[in-house]
Amino acid sequence: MRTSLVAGLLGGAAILIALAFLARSWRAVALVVPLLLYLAVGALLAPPKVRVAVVRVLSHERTAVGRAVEVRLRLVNEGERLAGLEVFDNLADSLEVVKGRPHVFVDLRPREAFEFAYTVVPTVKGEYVIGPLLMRARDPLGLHYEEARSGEEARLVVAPRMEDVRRVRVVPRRVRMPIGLVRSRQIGVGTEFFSIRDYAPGDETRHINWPATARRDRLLTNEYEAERSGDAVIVLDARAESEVGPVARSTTEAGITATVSLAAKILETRNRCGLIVQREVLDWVYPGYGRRQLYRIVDALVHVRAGGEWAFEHVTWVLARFFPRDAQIVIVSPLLDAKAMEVVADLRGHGFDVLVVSPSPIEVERAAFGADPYATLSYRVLKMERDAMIQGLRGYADVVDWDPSQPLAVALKGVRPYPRRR
Amino acid sequence: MDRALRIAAIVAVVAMAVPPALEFRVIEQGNQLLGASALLVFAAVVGVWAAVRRRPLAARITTAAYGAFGIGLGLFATDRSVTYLLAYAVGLLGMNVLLHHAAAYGPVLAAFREEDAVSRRARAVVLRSLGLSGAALAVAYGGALLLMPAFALGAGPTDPLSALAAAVGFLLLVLLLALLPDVSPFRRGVLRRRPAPPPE
Repeated sequence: MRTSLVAGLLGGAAILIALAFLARSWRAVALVVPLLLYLAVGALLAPPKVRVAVVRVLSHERTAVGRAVEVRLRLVNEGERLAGLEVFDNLADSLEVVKGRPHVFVDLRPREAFEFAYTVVPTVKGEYVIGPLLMRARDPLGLHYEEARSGEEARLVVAPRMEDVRRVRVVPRRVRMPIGLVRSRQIGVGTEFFSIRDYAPGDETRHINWPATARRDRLLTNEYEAERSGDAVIVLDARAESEVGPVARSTTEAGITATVSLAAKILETRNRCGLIVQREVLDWVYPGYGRRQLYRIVDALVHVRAGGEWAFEHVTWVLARFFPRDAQIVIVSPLLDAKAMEVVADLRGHGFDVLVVSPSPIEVERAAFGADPYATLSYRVLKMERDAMIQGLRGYADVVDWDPSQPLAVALKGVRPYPRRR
Repeated sequence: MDRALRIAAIVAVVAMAVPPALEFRVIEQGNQLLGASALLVFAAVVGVWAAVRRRPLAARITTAAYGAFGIGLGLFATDRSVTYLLAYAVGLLGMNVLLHHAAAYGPVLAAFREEDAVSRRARAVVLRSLGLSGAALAVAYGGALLLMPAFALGAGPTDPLSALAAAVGFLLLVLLLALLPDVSPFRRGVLRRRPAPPPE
């Protein structure tokens, strides 16, 4: 293949020849000679076909947002000498290169192997394809090149970032029969002291309260609060209208972070956790237990991109028909939908306990605009509107207004673990 | 090194504007001189922009303007010597090659943050390429000077039709030379590389 420089030289030569014949000037013809000589020398140095074997190895095939992955490439020249080989590994924009480069020049002799590595840090979750590798052999005069593309591609699955919410007490407020770690306010098997009663035949000796027995002069037994498990369903609002801010710091990405953190927390305390995602399609993961369920939820979240125009009401319909009636509903939404309050009230009407975790879109926008005085004024107006809306929502549900630049655990600090009293 | 390449390209663009500016002494009419100067300055600005933004194609405007003023006026108005005109043509060629190299190698060189084996190898490739380009330009200039006596023989067709045929033949020769790498009988036959040794 010829570069544009060849076309330029040929064009220049043609113009000079035309000029020479029009003006009948032999000196103009003489000026064509250096151009032709340069082309001739370039023809001698034209690069051969690129025949290079490529092996790409990733240090991890699954990782999380913000964790480094090393990509190692090994090239073996199976053809003639490539004096100026440009190598470029195709990367998604969300993979930030922090060490080394995916774009190098190298001189490869026949059979010579060349290895290089670079490290990327994913800034957005998702499933990425690294590659194909583009190779371009250039001649040193900039006149010709040969290109080849290696079909070798690697897949990298990037899970969403997880926040540390270990100290947060987000648990289902209604429990089911299976044993778990949620205090049920009922007598049963557990570790937390609940009350004392008279000893009954069959009570375990280790449950006898000996100090109380000594004081009352009759056998008394400790009763414990039953620890059960409950159901929770997290509803993630990933519609196009709910996305605010650049992709890596958008409300959708913050919502995904909150979703996966809360799911991990809920599953850790032996509860069942399910997921509903509102995007182009309304897809869901039915509640389940354990680490495997967490992987299912993470896999569902990895491919979430903001999109779709589903009305919020559809979630109520799905929850009422396909999910357990006594489940704790956690809605993760920036609350940009005017009907959010109606939906939460409707869910309360169906008997669900609702917790709303709302990544604040105005904080995301404020971070983007910085210290602009007009933006500050707009921020104050929008903040007042949002506060009023959240205050209205608090009549039906616990609402957590979360600034995504702050830790989620701080925002969740005020969430109460026990059923609401009305 | 990326910065050095870019600065060299800018210096080349600015320096190549000097010879055409010197040719302007033959323009006596004030408005013509003003127009020509404006065009030259515009071409130089475009050239500097092309060097800074690594857009060698934009420098075609600069090359055309420099060529028109430098070579056109030198050939037909100031009657410069062939040696001078050859040097200027090779200079314009060198400016374009430098811009092309800056665009091709600059982004890669700029991306290297640390000094390691990979960056050293990349730099060696670029230096070799620049060296060979310089050598090729020297060959082009020296070869053209050597061929000059052939242009002073006074032989050749004087009939217009024969001159036209000669022109077409010359253009075909240029095209053949340009197509050599793809046809590559020369490379296949004469410059066949030694076969690669068997793997160990």
